[in-house]
Amino acid sequence: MAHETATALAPDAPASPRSAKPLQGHSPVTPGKVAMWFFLATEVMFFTGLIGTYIVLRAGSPPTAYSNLFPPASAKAERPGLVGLRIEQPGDVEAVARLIRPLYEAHGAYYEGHDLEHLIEQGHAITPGLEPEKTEALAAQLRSLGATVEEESLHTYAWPLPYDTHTNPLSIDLTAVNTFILICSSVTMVLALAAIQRGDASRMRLWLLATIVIGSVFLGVQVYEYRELMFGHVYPPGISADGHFRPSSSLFASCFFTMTGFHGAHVAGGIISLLILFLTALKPGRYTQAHHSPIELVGLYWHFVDLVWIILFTVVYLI
Amino acid sequence: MSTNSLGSADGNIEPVSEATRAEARAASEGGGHGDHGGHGHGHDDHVHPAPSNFLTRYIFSTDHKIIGIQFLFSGLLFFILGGLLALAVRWQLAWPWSRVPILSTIMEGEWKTGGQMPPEFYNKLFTMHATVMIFFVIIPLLTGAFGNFLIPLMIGARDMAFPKLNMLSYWFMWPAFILMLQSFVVEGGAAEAGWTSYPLLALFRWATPGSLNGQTLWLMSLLFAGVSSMMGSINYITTILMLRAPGMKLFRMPMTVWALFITALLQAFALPVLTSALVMQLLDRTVGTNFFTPVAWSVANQPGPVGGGQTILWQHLFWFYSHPAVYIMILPAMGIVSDVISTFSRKPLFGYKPMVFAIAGIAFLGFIVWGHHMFQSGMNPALGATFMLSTMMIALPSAIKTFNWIGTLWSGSIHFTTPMLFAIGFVSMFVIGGLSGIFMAATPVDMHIHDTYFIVGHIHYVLFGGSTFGIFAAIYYWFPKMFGRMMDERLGKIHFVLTFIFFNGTFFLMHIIGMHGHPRRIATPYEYEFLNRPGIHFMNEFMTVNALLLGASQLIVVYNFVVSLFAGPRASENPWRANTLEWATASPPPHYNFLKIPTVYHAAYEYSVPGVEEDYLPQTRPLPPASQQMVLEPARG
Amino acid sequence: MAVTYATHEEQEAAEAHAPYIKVWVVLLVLTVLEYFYAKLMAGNMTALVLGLLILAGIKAALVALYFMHVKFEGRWVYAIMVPAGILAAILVLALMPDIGTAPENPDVEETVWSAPNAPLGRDEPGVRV
Repeated sequence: MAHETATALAPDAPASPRSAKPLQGHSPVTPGKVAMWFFLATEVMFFTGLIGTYIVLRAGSPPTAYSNLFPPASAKAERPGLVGLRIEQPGDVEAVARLIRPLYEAHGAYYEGHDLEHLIEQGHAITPGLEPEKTEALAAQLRSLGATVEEESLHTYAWPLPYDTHTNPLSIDLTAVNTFILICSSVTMVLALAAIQRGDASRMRLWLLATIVIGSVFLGVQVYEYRELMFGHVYPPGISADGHFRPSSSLFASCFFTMTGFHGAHVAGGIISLLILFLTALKPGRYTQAHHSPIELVGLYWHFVDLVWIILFTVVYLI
Repeated sequence: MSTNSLGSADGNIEPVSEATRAEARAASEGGGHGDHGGHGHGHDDHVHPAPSNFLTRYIFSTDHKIIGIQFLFSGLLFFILGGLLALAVRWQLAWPWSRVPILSTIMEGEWKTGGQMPPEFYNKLFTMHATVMIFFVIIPLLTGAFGNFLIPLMIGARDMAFPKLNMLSYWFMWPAFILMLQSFVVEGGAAEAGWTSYPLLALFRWATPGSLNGQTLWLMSLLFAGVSSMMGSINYITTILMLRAPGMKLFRMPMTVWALFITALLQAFALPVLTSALVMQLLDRTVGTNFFTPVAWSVANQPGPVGGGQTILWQHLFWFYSHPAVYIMILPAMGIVSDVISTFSRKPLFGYKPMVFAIAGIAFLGFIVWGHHMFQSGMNPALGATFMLSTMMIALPSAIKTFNWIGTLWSGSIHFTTPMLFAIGFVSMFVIGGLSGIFMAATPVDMHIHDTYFIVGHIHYVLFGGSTFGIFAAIYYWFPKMFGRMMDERLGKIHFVLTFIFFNGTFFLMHIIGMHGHPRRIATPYEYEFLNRPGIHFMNEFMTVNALLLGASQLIVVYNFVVSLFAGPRASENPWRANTLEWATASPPPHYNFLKIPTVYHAAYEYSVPGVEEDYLPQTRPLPPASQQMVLEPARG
Repeated sequence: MAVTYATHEEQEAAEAHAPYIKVWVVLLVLTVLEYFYAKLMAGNMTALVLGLLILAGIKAALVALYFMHVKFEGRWVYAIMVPAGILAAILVLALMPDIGTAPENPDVEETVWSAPNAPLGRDEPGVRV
């Protein structure tokens, strides 16, 4: 395409932005860069669709949408004064499960298989909120089965709070580390570009490989996180009615999986592009000091994906 | 999305090498204005012959002209499908529950009603009519067919900036085509929640037969069409910004290119929001996310989702794209009509720069008026008032355009060729469609007419009388350039007259029955006492007869198109004696478009320049020195 | 923001030797800062949101300016991204009145009349006013 891009340098052509710019000393404006930046602008609008949806749905969420005692979006959480029981020491797990399972089901929380037993064993089980006098009767029954219980009054939230294990299953520690990892992949990417700008092709290949590896680690951690949320753990009813955090569990879950999922898909796309770059870069002389725009363009995309994650980590996990 | 564009861009994104740059700079310093020999080194040395392989030449072609013609043919085929769907809608409205010719025979076994159209089938008809016409006909024809074919030719480039991306953008339409057609035959049939696909009707699988499976395919199909449009628009923007011929300053570009450029910007910024909305509705339907479902809803006693979302959210996101989409469908036609009117008035376009700014103004305002589709949706009234105001402001740039077209025609030497007739038809019909639009911008008026036939009349005056007339003008105007043969003028004029008459016969009465309260999107209007009257019956029958005749009139253009394609008289290089660059090369243009990249000396509208022998002056020829001063005058009789 | 260089070569050299490692360290420090800030301010929503958004904004700006070379590009990049940002803001702001305002009174009967978009008839499938 080089022949076409040269056109506007011919006479009478001050109109083209490219013809004037290199002389002023900015980076040269190439069709590839223009297209990539426009593509990134479309990506901004796409993520605005998703993140904006999350922001307004969260802002408009009614104050009783989430609670420590009831599944998400349960109207029961609107009644103040209810009390639940945290089962600290399970005693006879089977019997306790048999006793409290109907209570959960009456509130729309259906546990499958041995999920409820696991929840009780881990000490995460909280019974749904009841009138205080009914709770006392239940506490007596549970104690007779050898369990130690603690009363817990109803707390409601418009949205799950960070670090609140009753309503929010996300691990900030794990994701903070993962954010660290993605930022590292961004710097290796820019170092790959800097290397080829100095003409050092072998160093560039190394940095590209490093970016691919670190990016894959990020993606791997995200897959692990998804697996734990969706299948690995059993969560108390305040997080999900069936004990697993899945896209259908709550509006919070829907937003979380859609945003991070599409970000993850973009990371996967970036890794594939980087892999193609790396494989083509194995051919000596494919990318040189004078000719390396594919590295630059994929780099732009990769940093943009990193930038989106910086925002997602803040608005989804930390806030 | 990302990987595709990146992958295909690979190999096309080489920067200008320093050597080329230096040579070009040297040439630019050395070469005088009239000297064609010195510059354009890069172009002339790299003329590639067309691929000899049939597959890479005509099917998987990276040539923008072939891709444009591919879009043209697929768009016209879907035009036939969309038109037939509309005729079936009209049939039901005029003669409810009677056997529909052909359709009833085909669907007999499926319907089991003795040939009567079930109401849900009627819903499918208008849903798919709108979907097909908007996403598979008008947008692909205007931006896909004419955008592709014209942009490189009109700016003097050899091809698009990214030819492979261009090819991909066409082939991403095919999954969309196939999924949409497939949706007709899946269990429950095609989508029937309207082309707007509002939740909850579109969301719950058991809400209506079309929502069982058809809606999922509808969403997937539009995702593919969206990716295709994204690729196209980024390509167009980059091409127009970066590949203009020497001397083709931004304010020397023909209006068609300006309109396509701004349309591409609209698509680039608005479409991703629709993509995100489509994705969310798809996830709501398939994996049970809760974006658009309120708390504790269920349909047909199916277990409901957790909920917590908002149905009106979809409407906002949908119209954030689909209102700009209305301008995506009209702006290119406005550009085309500007060029056609100027050419056949043999006069410069009146107010070229205001025309450009008017298009830009319409495009910008187009982003902040989407709420006027939602006055009845329980939107916040304060927001509604804002949207009402911004909507009314759109009348200003639109009026500038209309008056400038009239100013161009004024005391021009008008040649009533077929493209010119369609262009004038566009202007007059757009005035009707535009004025009825201002009625509906006012919230209280819209409350009354929003879900009536008034709005159906309005949109068809803009989309048929506007966009489609523009498409016809473009087909008649550029057919010689596309295929190297002339279309028959006499048949073209008959086609125009019949189309114009039957179009008005079909759509004008819709305003009247709409004001009377005739609801849209309902198979049984006569259930209502106030509609079950001879006057309404007569008007509906009258409209349907006109619609059938309108459909039949299109056989003329089909015949004309096909016969001219093979047996039309050979077209010369510049049969209309027009100024723009595409007429400066052979008809049809060779694979590489221009033997030598032309140099541009002035804007595209130098007709009847004093001191020039002919009444036109191609952009490739410099102005005579004596007329330099005169040219700056905008209105020259 | 854009820095001008006398020649293209000088500018390429500036890109090749930009302080990437320094930027990287700052980004990591800011991430750690965000982490502890979020932990400390967990109770105070306003301070949490404001502080974290400022920190995230600085991080995003650093990535864009240095890693994405916006600092070295001409103004055309802003011409593309600023309109996108404005449109994004318009979209989110326009969604706020309809979707982003929480119903003040959770009582179902009253909500129906005061806020048209509040969830209706919860826990009773099919109940609509």
